[in-house]
Amino acid sequence: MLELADYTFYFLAALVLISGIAVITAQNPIFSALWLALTMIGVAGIFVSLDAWFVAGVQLIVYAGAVMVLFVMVIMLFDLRHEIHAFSRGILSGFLKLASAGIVLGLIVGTVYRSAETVFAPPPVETDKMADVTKALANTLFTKYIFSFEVIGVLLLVIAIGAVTLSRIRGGTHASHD
Amino acid sequence: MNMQLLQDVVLVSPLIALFAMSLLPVMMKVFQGNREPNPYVTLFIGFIGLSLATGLTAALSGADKTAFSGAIVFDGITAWMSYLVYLITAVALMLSFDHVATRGRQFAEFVFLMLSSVLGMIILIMSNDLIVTFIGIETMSLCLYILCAMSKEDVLSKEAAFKYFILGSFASAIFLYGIAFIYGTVGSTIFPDILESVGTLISTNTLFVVGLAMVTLGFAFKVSVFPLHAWTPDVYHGAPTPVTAFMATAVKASTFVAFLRLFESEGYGDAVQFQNVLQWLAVLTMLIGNVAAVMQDNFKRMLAYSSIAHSGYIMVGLIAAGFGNNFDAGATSVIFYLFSYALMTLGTFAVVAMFEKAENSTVGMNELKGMANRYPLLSLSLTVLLLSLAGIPPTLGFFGKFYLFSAAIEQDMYWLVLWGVINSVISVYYYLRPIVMMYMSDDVPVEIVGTNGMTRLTVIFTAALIVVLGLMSSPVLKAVQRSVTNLF
Repeated sequence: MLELADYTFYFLAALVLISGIAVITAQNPIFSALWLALTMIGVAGIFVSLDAWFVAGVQLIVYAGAVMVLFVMVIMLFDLRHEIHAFSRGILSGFLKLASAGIVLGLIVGTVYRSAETVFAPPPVETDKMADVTKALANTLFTKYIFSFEVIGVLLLVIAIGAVTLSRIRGGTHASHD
Repeated sequence: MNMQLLQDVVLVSPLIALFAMSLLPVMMKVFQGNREPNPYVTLFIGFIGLSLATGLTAALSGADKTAFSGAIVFDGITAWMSYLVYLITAVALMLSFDHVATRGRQFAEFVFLMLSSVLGMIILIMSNDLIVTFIGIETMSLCLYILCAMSKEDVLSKEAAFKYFILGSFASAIFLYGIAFIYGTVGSTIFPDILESVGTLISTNTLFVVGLAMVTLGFAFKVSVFPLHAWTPDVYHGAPTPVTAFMATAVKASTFVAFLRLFESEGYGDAVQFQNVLQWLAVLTMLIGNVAAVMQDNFKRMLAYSSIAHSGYIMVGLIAAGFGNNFDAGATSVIFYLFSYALMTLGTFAVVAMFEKAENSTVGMNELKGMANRYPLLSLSLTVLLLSLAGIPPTLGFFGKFYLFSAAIEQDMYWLVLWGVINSVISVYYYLRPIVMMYMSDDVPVEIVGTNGMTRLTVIFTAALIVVLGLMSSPVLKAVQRSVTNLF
């Protein structure tokens, strides 16, 4: 017998799969990036359903940032006038844009309004489940997996230096720009 | 706890030394206002890093223990393979210093990337945990993707880098997916835990088998074994030759060690189907590599296919180690073969590097015509190297193959050895062709131009080493054997 949690999982899994496929089949790079964002949200949803709140939060924050960077890269690297045009025309998309702007605005206003109560209220005493999971994660990450964690630092350095190196290669057809 | 951590850090001190030294040239470049430091200084720092790491490894050898909650292991295999990778890197750095595509304005970054790649390889060799293995593979590969692209503006090099990057990412994804399955079924990513439960899980749990197959495919991509070998010729051809030499030897050596560690279990004994699949992969790898190599006119491409074929031979030893009842004998033969393969491949690619005058020139077989008249010592060295690749006694290559195949025969894998021998016979044809071109033609040979003192030294050094080690192969084998079986 399927329970609610199962349905949630299958829904999220389908969402991740479909949007993942859409990332690579979408013709328009902007759509591709948006589908990628949806994939990330789906994965975050799966983490939430596993009670891994911290990982879900990190997933959203980090990958939202990554998708933003992707957007910048896409706009920088491609000549997208046509695609942007196609993307931002029509009544439906105009309505969607207005609606999403409204939702974001509502969220911000709501958060500010609601947080006034919490900020001035005394802090809650009990540590909830979320904090426990985060603490356990930190403990594992910085004791058992410390070696892997440190090596990933090296990996990131390699990526940074490598990207700069590749972009600075001069010679051949690039030589004329010197 | 703190003492424990200190011991663990001491055990990875070769890595730390290597990393610190690899940063030095780049830092110098930054502090000198982005001016490229003197390439001799960069090269010298690279050598210091490598010798420091070698020294520390030697000082620690015999430790034979695990560190960081069992994530890495420092045993005889670690020490021997680390020496090999450091040696390969030193030679590859010398080749890069001479070669037209890699010297120049970004030598500091080049050395940094190459040493970081070595860092990944040593992590891979030390790894006792699938997660660490994955991170090692990624560190190694990411550096290689960039190194491939660093031939200044060669179209082939860019194409090679891109192909390697996209296909490599795909293989990494498969590998990671396999780790997830194995973790899901075993409940741990540490090798001893996995190897303990192999025996029961491999015949009962489909998910575990799927995971194992995916991890195997991930390794197969890195060492270019049959279904995932197709990238090899293009990437090896397109990359700058010193980088190709480095990839063909060091990557294979380190990845095969991690692969080997996954087979250190009695549990595979009953997994007949898995063994059959791997055997066919080995046979097809040998066949495809050798048959395609026969048809090549480009020297570098021929060597690329030949390196695929050699992966097939090494798979024979791997299967003998994993599915037989004597892991140590199989592992010894694999490590010995990796040593001999690395030496002869490095030397041969060094000859290719010498013939490349411009960045996008390629060496056809015809360019070797009449070389013996003009460069007798070089021709003799190349002859030794090629004969060793073909496995003709008394060279090191012959003994490598001999030990590999006898390890398989010990496990009654006659069928596999038969294929290995047939393939060796095929390979003789294309290894002899350059030799015939060099000695049996009166054409005026191509002139070798440019600075290549160190490359020339490499060719002669590797050829000499192959003959010397070939003549005294049995003490070397015994030394390897002792370290594998941990009888210090």
